[in-house]
Amino acid sequence: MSSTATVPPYLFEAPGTHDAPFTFAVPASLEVMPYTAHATFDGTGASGDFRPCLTFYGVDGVVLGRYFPANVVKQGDVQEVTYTPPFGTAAVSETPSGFTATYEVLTASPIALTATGIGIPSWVHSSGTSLLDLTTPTAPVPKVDGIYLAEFYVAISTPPVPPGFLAELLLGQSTIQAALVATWAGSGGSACANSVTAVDHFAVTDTFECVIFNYNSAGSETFTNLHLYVVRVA
Amino acid sequence: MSQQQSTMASLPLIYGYTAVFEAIDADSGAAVTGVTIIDPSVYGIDLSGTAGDDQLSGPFMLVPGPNT
Repeated sequence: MSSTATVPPYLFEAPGTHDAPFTFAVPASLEVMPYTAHATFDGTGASGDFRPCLTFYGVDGVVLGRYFPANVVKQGDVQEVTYTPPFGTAAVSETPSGFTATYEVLTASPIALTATGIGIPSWVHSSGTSLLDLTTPTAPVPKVDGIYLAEFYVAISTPPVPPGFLAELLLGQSTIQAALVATWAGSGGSACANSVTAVDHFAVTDTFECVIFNYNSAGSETFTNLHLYVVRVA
Repeated sequence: MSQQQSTMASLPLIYGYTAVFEAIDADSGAAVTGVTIIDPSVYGIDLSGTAGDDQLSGPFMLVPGPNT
C-alpha cells in the first residue's frame, strides 16, 4: 500500500511593524507556492493615498504580478488586507457600497492688495485628507478625478467694508472660470466676510483657482482668514 | 480599521524570487513613503519537500506487520 504524499507547509512571517516596502525572500533550495498572505497597512504617516499591494518579483526584479484590493487606502487610514487565490469564496473582493466623502481644509496667509490689485492665495494643507496636489500652491489640482464641492472663504481685516468697495472671488476650472464667479459689493455695512461655493467635476488636469480682486479704487485692503474647503464625493 | 480582500496568483516562487508588501500611488505607480507594514505573513506550501524534516514527504511503502 502506498501512502498519499504530503506537501509541507511553509510560513513566512515577520511579527511587528516594518517600513514599506517589506520583502520576503524565498530561501535557497525552496520552491514555495503561496496560498494566502496577510498584512496590515498603516497609512497614518503616509505621504499620500496608496494601494496596499503584494507584488511577486522574479530574480532580476521583474514584476511577476501585483495584487491589491479594489479600494485605495486614504492617507491617514489603516487597512488590513488578506490575499487569496481566486477560487471559492476567496474570489470575492469587498467593494465599498454607496457614496463616500472625504474632505480637506487648506489655508493661506493674509494678502494685502493695493487699490485695484489682484491677489492669488498660496495654499497649504491644514487638516483632513490630502485631496489636492500643492506642487503649485497657487493653483492646486485634484489628485484624483472626481466630483468636488469647494468653498473659498475670505474676510477683510478691518471691517466695516468701506463704501464703494467691490471684491470678486473666482473659483473654478481654468476653462469655465466664469461660471463660478461670485462678487462681493460693500456699501458701508458691517459685513466683513464672503465665500463662494462651487460643485463640479474636476479632473486631474483642472486647477482650483481662487482670485481676489480689490476693486476698491479708494485704497488698499488686507484680506485675511483665507480658507479653501474641499469635499470629494466618490 | 477596515478589512479588505484581494485575489492573488498562486504561482511557484523559487530561490531569488521575492514577495513584497508595498504601498504604491494609484495613478503613477510610484512608491508612497511613510507607510508601515504590520505583522506581514505569507503562507504556502513547499514544493521542494525540503522545508522540514518532521513532515511526511512520501511516496514510500508501508510494510504490513505480522497478522496475529
